[in-house]
Amino acid sequence: MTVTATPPVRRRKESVPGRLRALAGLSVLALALLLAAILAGAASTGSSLRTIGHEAGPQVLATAGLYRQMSEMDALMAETLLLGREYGPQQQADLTTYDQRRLEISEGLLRTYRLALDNPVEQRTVESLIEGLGRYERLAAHARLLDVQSGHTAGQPPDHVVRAYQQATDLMHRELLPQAYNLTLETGTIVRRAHDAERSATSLARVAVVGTGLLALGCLLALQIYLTRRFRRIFAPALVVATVLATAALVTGTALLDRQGQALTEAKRRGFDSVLTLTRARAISKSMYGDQSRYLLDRFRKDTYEHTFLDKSRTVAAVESTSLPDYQSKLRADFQGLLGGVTGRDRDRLFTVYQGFQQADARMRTLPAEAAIKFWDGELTQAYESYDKVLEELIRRHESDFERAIDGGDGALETLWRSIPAGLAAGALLILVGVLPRLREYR
Amino acid sequence: MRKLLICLILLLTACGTARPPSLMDDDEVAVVAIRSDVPLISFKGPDGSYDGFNIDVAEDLLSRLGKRIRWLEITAGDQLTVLTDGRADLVFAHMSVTPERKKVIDFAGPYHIDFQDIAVRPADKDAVHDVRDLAGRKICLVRGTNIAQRIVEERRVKAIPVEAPDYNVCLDMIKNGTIDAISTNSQILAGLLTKPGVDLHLVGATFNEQRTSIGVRKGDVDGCEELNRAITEMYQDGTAHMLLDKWFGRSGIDLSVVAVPQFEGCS
Repeated sequence: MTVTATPPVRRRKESVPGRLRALAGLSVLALALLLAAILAGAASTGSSLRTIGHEAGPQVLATAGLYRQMSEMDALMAETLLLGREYGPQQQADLTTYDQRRLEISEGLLRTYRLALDNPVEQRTVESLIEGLGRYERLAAHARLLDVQSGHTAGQPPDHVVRAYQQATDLMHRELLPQAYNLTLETGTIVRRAHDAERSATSLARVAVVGTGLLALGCLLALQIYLTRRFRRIFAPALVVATVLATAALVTGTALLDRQGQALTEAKRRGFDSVLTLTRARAISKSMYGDQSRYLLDRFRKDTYEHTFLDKSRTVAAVESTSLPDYQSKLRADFQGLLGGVTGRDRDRLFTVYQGFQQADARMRTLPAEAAIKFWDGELTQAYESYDKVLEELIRRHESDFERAIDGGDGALETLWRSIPAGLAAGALLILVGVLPRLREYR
Repeated sequence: MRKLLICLILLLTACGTARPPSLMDDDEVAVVAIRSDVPLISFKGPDGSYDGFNIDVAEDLLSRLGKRIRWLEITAGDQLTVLTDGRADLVFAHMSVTPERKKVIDFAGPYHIDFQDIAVRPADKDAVHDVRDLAGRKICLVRGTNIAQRIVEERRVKAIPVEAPDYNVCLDMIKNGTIDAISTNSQILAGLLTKPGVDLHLVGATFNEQRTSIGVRKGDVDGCEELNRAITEMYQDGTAHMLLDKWFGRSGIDLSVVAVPQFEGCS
């Protein structure tokens, strides 16, 4: 005890400027760490925001379009074969739409290929789709040529035309559409993974910001207390301002990172996921409409097309049922399936038009062949179109939700980069301003 | 210093957030549940090792994921519980996707699209061409399957279902004339036809798509997505075609179109 009594006194006397320097240095360092944590958090969330908002997100939407355009191509082909020679102008209009879809598909495939540059599996899928579409064109052109040569009236074309079309539609449904569908799922995977990585990066960054921020405040407080005790000053104004600035940086940094994280979650859930699900539902509905014309067109496979229509109906709006008439009679507003997530007034509107479409379908299947074709061309097509229009509106609304959420995240990022580094640099400067006069007393 | 330590601890704990168990975060060994009683698809060879189409597919896919396999033999009744109680990572039991099953497990794939087909006695070869010709005939209804129901209710074909505990009993029943036809997945039928003493004709009436998928634990999105990627590669590099040809090339099943199936989706 007696041996150790004197040396501490001497050391304290010598170490006042040293301690002051150490505390001030530590405070500046802690502020630098805080800045680094905020910037690192912003950079990592910024890159995921880019992936979801500007790269993979739009890509998913492009591939989801592919599926719908391709099933529409096949549906249009069935329609022109069914319509016969007295529907000349309408056939021509169908062929124009067909060419338009083919153009959109080419654009969609090119876009997907460009965006899949680091994913060879996905690239091979795009290549295989390009090759397959070429084959489809050949088979469809053959069926179309035979159809024109036969010169039949509206209704089922001759058997050899139907057989030729079967080859084309089999290629589309067994090889091409599944690949287009999987392409959408795969890009969906990329977005999901970016989102998950972002979520853990953001929570990590938030912890780091809070940690370094508390450390900085602790150091500043220690410095303040030390100055008060040592130099009998109640406040060092510069240090008070520095503390306020550090607190502000801590609070705004956390809040902005939070907001950015929320923007991403919002974009993912309300925008992206909904758009993806609804686009899939719309694409499958298009293919259901195609199944109706194929049902009328192909007497060999009537059963099969009725069954695929039922399968797809259950995917879009699931109701427990054993057969198509059973499904159509049990269809209620509490359906599940792809459209099951739609809520509120949107659900009521969607249900009304979807039920109208299904009721028209039930009616068509009870009519004799020729009357069925006339009904399909008139009322049923109208019912389908009003259902499709409601779906399209819903998708567009969610798309703008998605864009808005991404813009919100981008905006948060800009504020972050502008204000926080400046505030923290000022804080560091103020620490020096507060400490230097005291250090000078020891010169 | 203590504060710095607290910060570090906070940082470290933030890294280990809780997630459902996944095929991808286990070690190198994956537990794969299979059946051993389905000819051509998954069966026990004379030397006691497993063989068949499902076995080959499972080995190919898991080697693409860098995993080794530990087989777990199950019966048809266990194919869901083995996943829900965590005894297996995957189930390769020729399962098709149904809404009821999707409530308790998830599905990767399908890795193959099969169709329902019909087997009849050679004498009925000319009388039965498609599912409508089953009207008024007796068909085998194996307990626990929905195949007969799909013919009678979904297709509204007035066939007469006759109950049986399993397909071996169906084979006896068709032989002694109790029933007229057996209908199930064409691959399973092809397997039944290879059994000694069985003389049946495969009609080739492909109806009702059967989406043969891999059962994965509910919520294992990572594992499911990786399996889908592996399935895509298996089709792209020709392995799928080779395996189908190896097991079903001589069965009479139409293999003219071998294309990657439309996946179920993982979430």
